[in-house]
Amino acid sequence: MASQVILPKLTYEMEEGRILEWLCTEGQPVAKGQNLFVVETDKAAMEVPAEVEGTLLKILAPAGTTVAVSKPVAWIGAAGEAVVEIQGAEAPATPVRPAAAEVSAEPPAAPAKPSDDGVLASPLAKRLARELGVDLRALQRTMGAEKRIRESDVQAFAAAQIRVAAPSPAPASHITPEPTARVQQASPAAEFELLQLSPVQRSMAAHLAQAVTIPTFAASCEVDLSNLERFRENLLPQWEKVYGFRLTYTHILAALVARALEACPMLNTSWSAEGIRRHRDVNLCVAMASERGLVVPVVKRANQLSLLQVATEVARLRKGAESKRLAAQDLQDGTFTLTNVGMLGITLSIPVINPPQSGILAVGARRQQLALQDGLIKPVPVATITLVADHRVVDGAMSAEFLRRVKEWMENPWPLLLEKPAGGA
Amino acid sequence: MTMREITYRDALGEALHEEMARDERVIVLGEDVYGGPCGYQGCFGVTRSVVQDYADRLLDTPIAEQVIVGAAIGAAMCGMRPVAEIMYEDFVALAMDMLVNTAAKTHFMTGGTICVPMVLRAAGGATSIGPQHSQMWTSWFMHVPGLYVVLPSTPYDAKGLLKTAMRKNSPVVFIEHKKLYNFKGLVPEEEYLIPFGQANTLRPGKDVTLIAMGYMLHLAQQVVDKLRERDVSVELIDPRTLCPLDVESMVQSVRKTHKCVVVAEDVRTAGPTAEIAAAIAENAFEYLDAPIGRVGARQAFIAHNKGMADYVLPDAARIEQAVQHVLDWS
Amino acid sequence: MDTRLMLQMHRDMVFGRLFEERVQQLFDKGLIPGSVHLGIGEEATQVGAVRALAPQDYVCPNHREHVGDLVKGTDPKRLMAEILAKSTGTAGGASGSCHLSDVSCRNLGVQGIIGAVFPVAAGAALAQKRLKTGCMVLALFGDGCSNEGTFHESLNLSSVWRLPVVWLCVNNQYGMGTAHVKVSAVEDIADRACAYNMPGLVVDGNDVLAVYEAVSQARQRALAGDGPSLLECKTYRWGGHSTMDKRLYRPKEEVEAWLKRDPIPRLEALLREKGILDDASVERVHADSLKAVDEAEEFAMNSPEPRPESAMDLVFCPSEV
Repeated sequence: MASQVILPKLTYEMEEGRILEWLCTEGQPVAKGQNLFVVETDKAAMEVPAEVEGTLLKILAPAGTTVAVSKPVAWIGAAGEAVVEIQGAEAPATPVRPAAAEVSAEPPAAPAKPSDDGVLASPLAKRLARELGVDLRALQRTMGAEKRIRESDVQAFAAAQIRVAAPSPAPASHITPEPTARVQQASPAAEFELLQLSPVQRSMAAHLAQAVTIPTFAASCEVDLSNLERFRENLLPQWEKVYGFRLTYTHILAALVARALEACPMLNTSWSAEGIRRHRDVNLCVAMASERGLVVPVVKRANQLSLLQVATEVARLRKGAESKRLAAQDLQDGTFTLTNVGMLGITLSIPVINPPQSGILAVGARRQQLALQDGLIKPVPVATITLVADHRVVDGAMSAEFLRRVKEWMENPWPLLLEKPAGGA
Repeated sequence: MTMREITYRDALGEALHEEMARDERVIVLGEDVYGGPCGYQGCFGVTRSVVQDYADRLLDTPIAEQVIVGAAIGAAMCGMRPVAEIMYEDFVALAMDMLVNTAAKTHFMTGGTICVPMVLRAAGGATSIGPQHSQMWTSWFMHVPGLYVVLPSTPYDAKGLLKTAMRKNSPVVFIEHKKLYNFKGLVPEEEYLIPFGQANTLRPGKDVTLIAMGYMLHLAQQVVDKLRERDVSVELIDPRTLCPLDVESMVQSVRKTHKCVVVAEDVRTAGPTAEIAAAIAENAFEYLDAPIGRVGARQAFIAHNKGMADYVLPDAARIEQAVQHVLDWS
Repeated sequence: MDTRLMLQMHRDMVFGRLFEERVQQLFDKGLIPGSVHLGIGEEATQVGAVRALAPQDYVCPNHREHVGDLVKGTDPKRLMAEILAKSTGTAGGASGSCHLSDVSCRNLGVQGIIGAVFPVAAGAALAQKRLKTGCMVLALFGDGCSNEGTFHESLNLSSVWRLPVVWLCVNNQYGMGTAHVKVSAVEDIADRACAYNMPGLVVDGNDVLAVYEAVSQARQRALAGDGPSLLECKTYRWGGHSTMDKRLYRPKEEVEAWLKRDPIPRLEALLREKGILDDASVERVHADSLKAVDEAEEFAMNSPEPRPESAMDLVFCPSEV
């Protein structure tokens, strides 16, 4: 019975070899241990002997061919024996051993952050500056370029900023009946209570102050809420039964504003000196009240989510806001803001833009209005929706188009229940 | 707890005695660990404490470090609980193969079927005996998976940690310091053990964290006292075990103080201070108000001449300087 | 000598050789990571020595002892699986052939560092003496290994402390590619015994019965409390140092001369002469051995790889403190 001659593994790293020369010819009898061929490995040329005695029936890999380790190169058997070309009788493939994993219990190295150009500050100082809204560049200027900013420097600078910002106590009036002309410095205990600013308040104040630099304009229109109310009332009992939570107007508004933004991409933008950034995703900020005050968490990719997904996410974020457990990513990368001030009974609101976004939409409270419908005077529930937009990016026509679409969705919300077609973005 | 003052040497001896009483499989192998009634009874007298009751378990060996450590390994593999005493930490180098390639790896190589419950005790540190008799090689051992590494600084720590070491089922490298054998400290009469991986905060503080080990802890204490007079509050921490290393305690401290200095008698380059400083930096980066300071021996040798040796070794002045540096850093 | 024992040793040698040849084949197919060191040609030394031990005795083998490991009691399936780095191997794939151990049959494991066997075996023997177990330790090491410093330290200590250990040198004339006579001050390693005040004996390593006798006697000496012995079995490895060594450094005539002293036909001839063995029974032994080798290969090939994360499991041994 003929047996295969395979290319053996001759060195540690050998994976293949090039046959340089056959030392025997087909039909020649060979003895066990007799050298059959010479192969070039990664290290050197080596001779390979026959493992069995017999006749070299057939050479499968002639000189010059490169063969993988364990692959057949010839057949040895009895003289005149036929060689069956069994393709399947090959040595099993070399199992791939995974490379040894790096044994490391340490956390991976943090990516290098770009330096603050000329700011020399300790890691602690940088973190504190972020939290307190301190401008490190300004602080560096006061200290001199070669001095390192430390925690105490940031604390001192932040305290000084508050003193500058706080109103100086009013000098006593000259008309007072007090005989002394001495200016009375009002003591804090007498005239006002000083509420210390929390880091959140400081940073929000700093953040919103930037909004003053944006040239904005406001546009509003009135929306008939009849269908929206009917839509919600119809869904409400089943929704709660099936999904376990109450469907709110904010949920519905978030879903439809996201779709309106998808159709009006210029409202989903940010102005920058290099150009207007038109964001790929609609990351909708939804204003919420919490114990800490106003929180504005983000529903990521809201335009791609169904009504159920938006509602679920808004409910999750509200829960996070109430229990003070919002993650950093829940508060970042928003592209537009929705604020349902109607919940608080406010009929008209002209909100402040959330920089670097280009727009913010306020939805006012429901109120009854008399309207003429089919020749009859009827009470109709309406609300005013107000858009405040960055005029560098958004013009009157764009704002009108956006408001029109929001109004359209609010006045006919049923298509919200349609699934997004697969593959669409 | 009834406390009494005993020496570091006697605290170690008590640990040996208690553990030998508790488990008859404990033996001590080493050069001159007994030597008879008039023998050395330990180069530094540690085994003196067990001579009366357990002389038959003290095996004097030839001067052959590889077989001292290797036989301890082989005996441990067959169910004994040996303590191998290597006179000077410098000589452990002779037995590094046994320690690193056999002791540390046996449990793993045998698929978890064989343990090596042995303790290697050695005396490290500089005492004017010259370059080949003065080293601290802590990093060498920290770097090897499978070895516990212990550096007791006080009699209390020495006893509690040695007892724990002798009850571990993996090899322990237990480095004593030559200068500390006569050092006295309070040790309870009642039995106690100190678990591995628990750093000791000796003094609480809020201005800077000072981490020091072995003999250096005592120099660090002097610096802490001196700085207190200048109203600087230093939190002093002794890691006690370098493997397992209690990074968490040290990080918690730095989160409070925002500044840190690490001190060891080992050469500074790639010393234990390097690992500790890196671990703290990784875990407390945004709490640091200055770079982490490291104090260690200079990259040179400990001469026979005291002036030359002192120049290379860390001292209280250099520790104080390092602490002041992070306080003033700007 | 007991007929059953001789037949057993014949079976041990035949099975051992077939096992080793199969390992070589698997290596040639690229299925074995790293390196393997085969003991083809040295079967008589391995079988004779280990058969002379009681099951409770310890062995500290060298890296060329698959045959000895099998005689000591390691399941060939688990041995093959370990060589193939599978999770069903004796160490779950952690040790491979070069660090092989099997504590269930008192095989304390190969020391991958040449020379480490001496102190470890001395320590194991120390434990037997102190714990009064009535067991002894057989340490196997090559000619090359005997030049390590630890040989000196450990033989000295074992003699001074009268430890129950048998130091058995498997002298196959070559340490990797270097001829023993070129790097050793004395040709017969057994001659060094006098430096340690213990008996030293040269044995024909290809005569399984002679090896058995020599080790039995040394074992008795050890158990009687008379201390260690140094035995030197002169033998030859047919293959290279490892499976990839093409052994070009040995003269052809030398190889051929040793091939003629193949221990297996030698024992077979003796047993045939005594009428204990015939063609049919030899055939049966071969067939049974081949079957067992096939089963071992199949088991190993079908066994799973260990989980990569299991590398982290065995760094420390658990303890109560």
